[in-house]
Amino acid sequence: MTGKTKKNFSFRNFLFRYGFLFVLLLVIVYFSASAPSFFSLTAAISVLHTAAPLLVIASGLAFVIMTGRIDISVGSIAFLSSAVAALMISRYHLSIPLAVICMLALSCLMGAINGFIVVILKVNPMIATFGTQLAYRGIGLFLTNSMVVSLPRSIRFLGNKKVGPIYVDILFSLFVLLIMFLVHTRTQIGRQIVAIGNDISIAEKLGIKEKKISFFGYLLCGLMAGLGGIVMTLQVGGVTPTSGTGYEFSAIAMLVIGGISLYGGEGSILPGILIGGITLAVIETGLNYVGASVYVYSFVRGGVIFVSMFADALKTQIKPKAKIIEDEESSTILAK
Amino acid sequence: MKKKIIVTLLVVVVISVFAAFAPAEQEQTVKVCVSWNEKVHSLIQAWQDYMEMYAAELEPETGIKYEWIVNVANGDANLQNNNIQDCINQEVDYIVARAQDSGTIGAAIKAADAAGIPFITFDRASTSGEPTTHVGEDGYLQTRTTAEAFAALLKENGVEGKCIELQGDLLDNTAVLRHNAWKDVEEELGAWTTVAEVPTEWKAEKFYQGALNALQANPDANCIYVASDFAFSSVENALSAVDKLAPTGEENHVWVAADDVNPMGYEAMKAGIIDLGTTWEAYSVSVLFVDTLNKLVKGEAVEKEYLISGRLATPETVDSLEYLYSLDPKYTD
Repeated sequence: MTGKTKKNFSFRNFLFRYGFLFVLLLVIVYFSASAPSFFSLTAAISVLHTAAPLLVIASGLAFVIMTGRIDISVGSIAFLSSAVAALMISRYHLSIPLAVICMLALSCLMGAINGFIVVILKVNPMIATFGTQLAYRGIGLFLTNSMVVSLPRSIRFLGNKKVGPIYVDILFSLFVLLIMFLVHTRTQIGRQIVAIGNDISIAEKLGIKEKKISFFGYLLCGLMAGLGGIVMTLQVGGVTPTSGTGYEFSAIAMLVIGGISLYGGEGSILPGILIGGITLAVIETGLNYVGASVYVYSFVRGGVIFVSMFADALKTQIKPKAKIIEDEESSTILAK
Repeated sequence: MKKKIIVTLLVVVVISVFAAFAPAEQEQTVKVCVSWNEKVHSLIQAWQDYMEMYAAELEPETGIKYEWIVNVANGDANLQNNNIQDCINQEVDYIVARAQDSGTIGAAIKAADAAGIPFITFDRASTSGEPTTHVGEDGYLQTRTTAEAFAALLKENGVEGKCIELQGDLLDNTAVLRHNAWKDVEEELGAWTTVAEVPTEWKAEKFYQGALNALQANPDANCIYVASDFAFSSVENALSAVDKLAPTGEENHVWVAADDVNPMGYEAMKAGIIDLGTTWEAYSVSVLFVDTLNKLVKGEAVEKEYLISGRLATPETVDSLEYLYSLDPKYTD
C-alpha cells in the first residue's frame, strides 16, 4: 500500500501542477518584505480588483483555448462593445439597460463572426482573429472618432462600489468564474470542449458535433469579452482608444499560468484562472507598491509571459513520455 | 474714326474684365502627408482641424492650397514608419509627423531625406534623426511652469507635499521632458517629495490601477502630479475608491497638478479637483505649424525648432484663456 503511494507521487507532476503557486508565494513574500503595506487586506483586495476585468475575459477565452484554438481579438471586442455602449449612454442618452443589452448582443455577434471564420471557413485561428482584432478596433476608432468617451458622472464611479471592504466587480468576476466553472465541469458542452481539445478526430468519432461546439466556444468568448469590457469601462469611467489593448496577451498568460494548456484539452477554470489572474495582478500591484523603476514593468511582464509559455511547452513535451512510462508500468503490472 | 474708338474701347473693356477676374498670383497646390501616431484624445483632432482651418483662411492671401493626406498609426511605431513610406511613394511635397516613438522616427526622417522631401516633426521631437524643423510646445517648460506654481500653492497652504507622480509613456520624448521638469523643480524648491512614480503608458486602465495602488501603498500621500489629464476620470475613480475625491477646501482634498487642460481635465478643474495645470496648446501650435510650412513652401529659411510655451490655468483663470480648445463643444469628450 505504501509502495503504491510512493510510485504514484511524481515530483515532476507536482511541480507542473503547483509550480506557479510556489512562484506566487515567493512573489508575495518578496513584495511583502520590500513594501510592508503590501501584506494587507487592502492590497489583497486591490490585487483582485485589478484582475477583475481580465478574469472575466480569460474565463471566456479558456473555452476557445481548451479546444486547441486561440482568439486574440478579445481586447478589441471589449473595446468596441464598451465604446458602443458608452456612446449610446453619453451621446445618444439611451437607457443604461438597453445599452448593456446592445453591448452584449454586439459582443456575441463579434464572437460569432470569429467562430464562423475559424470553424466554418477553416481559417487559421491566429490569422483570423488577428484580422478581426484590427477590424473591430478600427470600427471602434471610427465610431468614437478616436476620442475618449467618458461616462456620465452619475454612473462614472460605479466601478468603485463596494460591499463591505470588497469591490462589487470582484464579486462579479468570481461569480462569472463560478458559472464558467460549472459550465466546464458539469455540462455536456464543457466536457465536449475538452474532448475536442484532446483530439478532434476522436471527438468526432464519439459523435461530438465539433463545429457546433467550437463555434459555441467562440460565441461564449465574445460574450465574456463584452462583460469584461463593462468591468474595465466602469473602473476607469470611460472608454479610450487604447482601452483593451494588450488584454489578449495578458489573458492568455493568465490562462497558461493557471495551467490551461495552449495545446488544448487541459486545464481548469477554478482554481486555474484565479491563480493565473492573481499571479499577474500581484506582480503589477507589487511593482506599484515598491515604487519600481518604470523600466522594470515591461521586463517583468514579458518575463512572466515567457516563463509561463515555456513551462506550457515543456509540460506538453514531457507529458507523452511520462504517459508512455506509466503505460509500460501498467502493462508490466498486468502481465505479472 | 468712330469705328476705331469703339474697337479700342471694346479692347480696353475686355482687358479690364480679364484683369479683374484673373488671380493675383498663380495658385499652388501642395500635398502634405500628416502622420499621426494615434488619436487617443480630442487634442489630436483639434490640431488637425485647426491646421486645415488656418491654412484655408490664409489661402487667398498666400495662394497656397494644401491637400492633406492623413494617416494614423494606432500607437504602432513600425506602422507609422510604413505609413510615412507610403506617403513618400505617393510623392508628397512635405511630411509632418507626431512620432509614436521618438527613438525610431529617425528611420522615416532618413527615408524622406533620401527622397528629397522636407520632414517636420510635430509636438514630439525626434531623438533619432534630424528633421527639417520641429514645431511644438516645450514639454519641459510646460511642466516646469506647472511644478513651480504647484510648489508656490503648497507653500501658500502650508502643505509639506508627499506626491505621487503619474508618468506618461517614456517612449514619448514629451513624457520624459515632463518627468525631468517635475524632478528638477522638486530638487530645486523642495516643496514636495515624490513617494511613488507610476508609469501609465498613456493608458486609462494604468492611470486607474497605478493611482489606486500608489494611494493605498502611501496613505499619507497628499498630492498628485498627472502628466496628462486626457483620461482624468481614471484618477478621479482612484481617488474616489480611497475616499479622497474632494474639491479644494475640503478636509480630504488631495492637491492635484495635471498638465494639458484637456476637456476631461477642464471639467475636473472647474469642479475643484485639479488645482492647476499648464495648457498643451492646440490652436497656437497649429498656427505656428502652418506659418512654418508656408515659409518652407515659399523657400524661406526656417529654424531648427519652433516651440511655444503653454499657459498656466487654475480654476479661477481657466475660463479667461483664449483659444482654449477644451471649451469648444466639438472637442468635449
